Amino acid sequence: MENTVIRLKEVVKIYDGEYKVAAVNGISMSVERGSFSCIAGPSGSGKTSLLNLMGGLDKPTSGDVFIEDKNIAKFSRTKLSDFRLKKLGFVFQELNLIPVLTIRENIEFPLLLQGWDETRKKKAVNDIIEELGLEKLSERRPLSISGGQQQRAAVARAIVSNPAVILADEPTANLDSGNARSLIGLMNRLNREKGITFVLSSHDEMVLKEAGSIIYLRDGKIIQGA
Amino acid sequence: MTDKTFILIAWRNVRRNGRRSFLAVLIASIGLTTLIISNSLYDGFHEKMIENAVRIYMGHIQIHEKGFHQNPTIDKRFEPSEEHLFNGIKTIRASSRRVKFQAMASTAASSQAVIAIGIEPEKEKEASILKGSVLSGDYLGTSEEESRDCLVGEYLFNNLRMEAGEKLVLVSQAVDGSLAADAFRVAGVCRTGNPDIDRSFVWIPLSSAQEMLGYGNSVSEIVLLLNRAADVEHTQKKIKQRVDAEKIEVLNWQEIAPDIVQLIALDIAMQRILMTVIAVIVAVAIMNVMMMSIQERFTEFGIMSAIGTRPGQIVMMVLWESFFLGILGVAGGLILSSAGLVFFYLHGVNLASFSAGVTKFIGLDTRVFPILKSQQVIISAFIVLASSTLISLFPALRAAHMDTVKAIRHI
Ligand SMILES: Nc1ncnc2c1ncn2[C@@H]1O[C@H](COP(=O)(O)OP(=O)(O)OP(=O)(O)O)[C@@H](O)[C@H]1O
Ligand SMILES: [Mg+2]
Repeated sequence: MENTVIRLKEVVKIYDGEYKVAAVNGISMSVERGSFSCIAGPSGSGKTSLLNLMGGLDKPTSGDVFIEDKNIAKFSRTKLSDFRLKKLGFVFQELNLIPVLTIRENIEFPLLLQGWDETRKKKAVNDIIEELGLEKLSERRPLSISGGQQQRAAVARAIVSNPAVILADEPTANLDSGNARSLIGLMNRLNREKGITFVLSSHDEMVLKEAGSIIYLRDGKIIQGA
Repeated sequence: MTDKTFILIAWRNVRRNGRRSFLAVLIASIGLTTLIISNSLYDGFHEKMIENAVRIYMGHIQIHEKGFHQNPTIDKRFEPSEEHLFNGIKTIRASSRRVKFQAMASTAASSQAVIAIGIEPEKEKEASILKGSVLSGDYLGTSEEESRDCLVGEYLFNNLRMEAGEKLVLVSQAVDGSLAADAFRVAGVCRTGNPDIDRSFVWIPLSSAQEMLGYGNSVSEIVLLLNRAADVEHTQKKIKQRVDAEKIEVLNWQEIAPDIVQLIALDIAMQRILMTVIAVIVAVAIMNVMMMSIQERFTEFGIMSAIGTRPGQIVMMVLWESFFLGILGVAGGLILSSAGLVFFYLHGVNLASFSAGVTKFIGLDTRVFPILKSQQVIISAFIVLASSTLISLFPALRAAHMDTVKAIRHI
């Protein structure tokens, strides 16, 4: 148990739109600390829905989601917000960054929200910037740098406060293969060297090759893995 | 610390949408300018109206025998000791004694009921604009041979089909009930701008009036002109303490002319309505801008919320943004209204070009100049700022309570 970061128990997510869609249909699984997992599956198989549930962005229709043994399905909106801030890092497909803030300010943002003191904050931000090779970009605004650079900055922001797990929904979907490869390489390195836990979703073969474990989804169900 | 970041984001967002922010700021500026200029012109108009009424005839304070103001009959008279009444009161600029009575004025051609005013020519000169209003001929003098001169209102002069230097006979009742009649030479014609006065007033020397009515040294009223309108209340109070309230009434201009007070109150009510309308326009304009701004930043708010920004912080951020727009609007409004005020200080607004009967209220110089009161400016600025910030609670709450998942799926 100590080593399980995320645990899902019989999780169901039904969208009640024009048609009833069971986007996640009874999934139980766990994510181990220090692992590098990838959720794979065709479009509409429920990858995004599953990641949103893991990250406390969405609430399950039934079942439980435990993060470090806390059942987040029962949290209030504000408590969930604080929980995400402290325990989780997110990388989305694109437009991850706040456009009016510089790259440095964007990376600093979660630390500001957490109220870190100035010296500690500065050191953490500088370390990450150096580690991810963002020195030259740190004073620029997101829209003035490339998509690949933006995604690197998003990874920097996601890991800066040392969360328990980083959730990344198709982080390479909008990148060319070279940039995609280097972003996955970066995540892989952070996973190996610093033991940061990653859960990705993708349908890119190259990404899947890098993953430690792959969970295949279809119609909201795990058909292989986990 | 975090607040500083959200304020920074808010400020940068104002700058990011330069054109749209400019539009909102412009509307707020124009709104504030309208408020400040219309308020100061209204105030200028009111001051002028009061000043005019006071200076034409009424004075700031009038003293009579009790009941004279309600029912001015010739038996209501008093013999004042000005020394006793006014000694040591420094707020008094001028005082003048008058005898006021109804009379029948006849010329060779015609006759008409008039109001005759006995005045002290030298003192009246200080207390009212009478001397300045002499259109043709001469003002009243004090010498013996001038004691049978009179001044006549312009319309009255025309109505009686008089000619300059002609004789005018005034007939009235004396205090003892006998008939009093006296002939006066028309020395001058007056135009005060107030049609009621110009139509029916005849001014004669005080001593002649007293003689005619058998008044001895008594008078109908004393008129006081004070240094400042603000002095009225305490001056009136001081004088009241020196008279027998059973016998003498001491009235201020507001008591003498409540219609002016009501007119001003009506204007103030209209002005409040204008303020409300402008506040609503500014609020709607700013809300629109904020709504648009939030609409296109849907994803941005979604991401901020996903990574742990609290709804309250998002509300604050949006409110700061609209507050900045409001502040810029106030700044712009102050600059614009300064320019406008300079223009109006130099040129005034000629009310005669808007309304013909305006001389009745503000006299012959129909230009009105703005009067700037800091309190008005502060209130107007506050209204603009508050309405623009408070209305943005709607977009702010919308941004804060959006569905994070949907916002991210927008991508
Ligand atoms: N808000 C929603 N309302 C209704 N149905 C939804 C909603 N969100 C997702 N779905 C449906 O749930 C199912 C799973 O969607 P999801 O986005 O999780 O799939 P995905 O595997 O991430 O697909 P993709 O590879 O295209 O991103 C789909 O059938 C989708 O249409
Ligand atoms: Mg998806």
